[in-house]
Amino acid sequence: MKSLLIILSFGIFQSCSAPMEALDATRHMPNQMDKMLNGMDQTNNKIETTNQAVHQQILMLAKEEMLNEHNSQYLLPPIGMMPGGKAFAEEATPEELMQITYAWLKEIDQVQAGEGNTMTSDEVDRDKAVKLTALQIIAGFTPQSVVKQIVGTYIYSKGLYEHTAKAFLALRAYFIQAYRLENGPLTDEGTNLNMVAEAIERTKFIQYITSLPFRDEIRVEINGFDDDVTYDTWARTFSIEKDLATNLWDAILFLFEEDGVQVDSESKRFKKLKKEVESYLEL
Amino acid sequence: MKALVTLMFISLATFSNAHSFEWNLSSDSVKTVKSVAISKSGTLKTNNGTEITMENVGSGLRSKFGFSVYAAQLLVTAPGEYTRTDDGALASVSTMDGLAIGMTFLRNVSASKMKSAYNQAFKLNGVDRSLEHNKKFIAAATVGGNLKKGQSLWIFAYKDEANSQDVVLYHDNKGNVTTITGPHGFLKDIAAIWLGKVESSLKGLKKDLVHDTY
Repeated sequence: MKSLLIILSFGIFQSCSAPMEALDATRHMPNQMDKMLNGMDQTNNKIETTNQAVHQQILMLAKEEMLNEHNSQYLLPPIGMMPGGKAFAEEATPEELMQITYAWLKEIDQVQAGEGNTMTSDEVDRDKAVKLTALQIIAGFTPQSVVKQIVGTYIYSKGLYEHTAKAFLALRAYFIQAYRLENGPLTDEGTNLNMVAEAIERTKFIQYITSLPFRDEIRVEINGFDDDVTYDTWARTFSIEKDLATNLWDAILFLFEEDGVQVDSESKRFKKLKKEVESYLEL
Repeated sequence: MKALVTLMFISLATFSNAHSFEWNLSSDSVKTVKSVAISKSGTLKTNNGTEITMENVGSGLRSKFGFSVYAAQLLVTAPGEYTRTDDGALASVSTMDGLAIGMTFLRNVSASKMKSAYNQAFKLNGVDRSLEHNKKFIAAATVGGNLKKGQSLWIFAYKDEANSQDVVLYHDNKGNVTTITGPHGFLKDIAAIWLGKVESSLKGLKKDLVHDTY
């Protein structure tokens, strides 16, 4: 009997020890959780660092691609610079876009040959033309959602880069008009409805800029060129004409009216797109 | 066969529609614009034998977005009456008997781009683009196809008082001549493309055409 009691007691003791161990274990749990959370934070930080590194690398490569001697050999039109510029524009944050615009506009305005550099006046002017072209490309390819963020953060909220943001918009309008519309779908031969649809989307970007209440302040005056005759394309004021968007809508409408669009004029899409253009002209 | 007959008919229609004319530029040039010689004067002989002599009053470079597009020159029948002010030039030209505008292209330009440019200029100047003679003028830009670097086109406009109309001859880059007749005022509407209200990128050329002196 005595031995039976001993065995039973041992069994009870054993069965009680498991919950107790579990209770003991929970005493260490907060530490383990903290360790796990720290580990997760560290992993997140590492991912963030990696993402940041990848982001910076994309920007750096895009910038190099845009500015390298081969791709920037021809500036009219700057076809070689466009892929790099587009990649930069699609990757950069609003702040980074403002920073590069601010820095390069400052450079264009202030750098002179022989002052802290060994470049000739021609070389400095050429470098400035490349940088200004690059800024136009970047501004022209920046996604519209990012442009709206720039306007909100830096112009409406009177942010640090308010004037830079306005210059950015002026360069954007110029690039879209020059290279993404007038030397593109608006005048290409054999325009089809997809081209027209694209022209409409791009003209909406310009419409957005011309509709801003501070349109008259959207401008940038470029005075930094020594030889402003050779570089008259860049050494001038970029601003927004009041009728810019209207004229572009009219040019698109002209494609519909003068059989410029190679498509059945009775098609639903033709009529829909034409109506959309007409609605902008009625504004 | 039907297609051939149709083609022949179109050819005949185009031919019968074309007025014969001669255009002789003087060999002495007053200057060059991007290596293009600008002639001092020219004589237009119309289909009815009338000779219209014109003198150069202005020339310059048409550029857009930094591209050199064409060298332009303007000749008029009464150079002494040409008013060299931004607002006065067009009005003075509209009272003259005739004018000629020459464009020598410095780069390839699509016909559709020319059409678009004329359309925009008409719009800027409040010219009714739905009128038949204006539509014909815009359409004339496509007859010669795309313009190649080095090619020239000339536009002549003169008053045909006997028939109370203005006549425009569109001599394109391929040598085709499209003759378009319109009411008085047509000449002015054509001149307005360069001397009227112009888009910002054309202001430099207008300034040259208005203020250029030799």
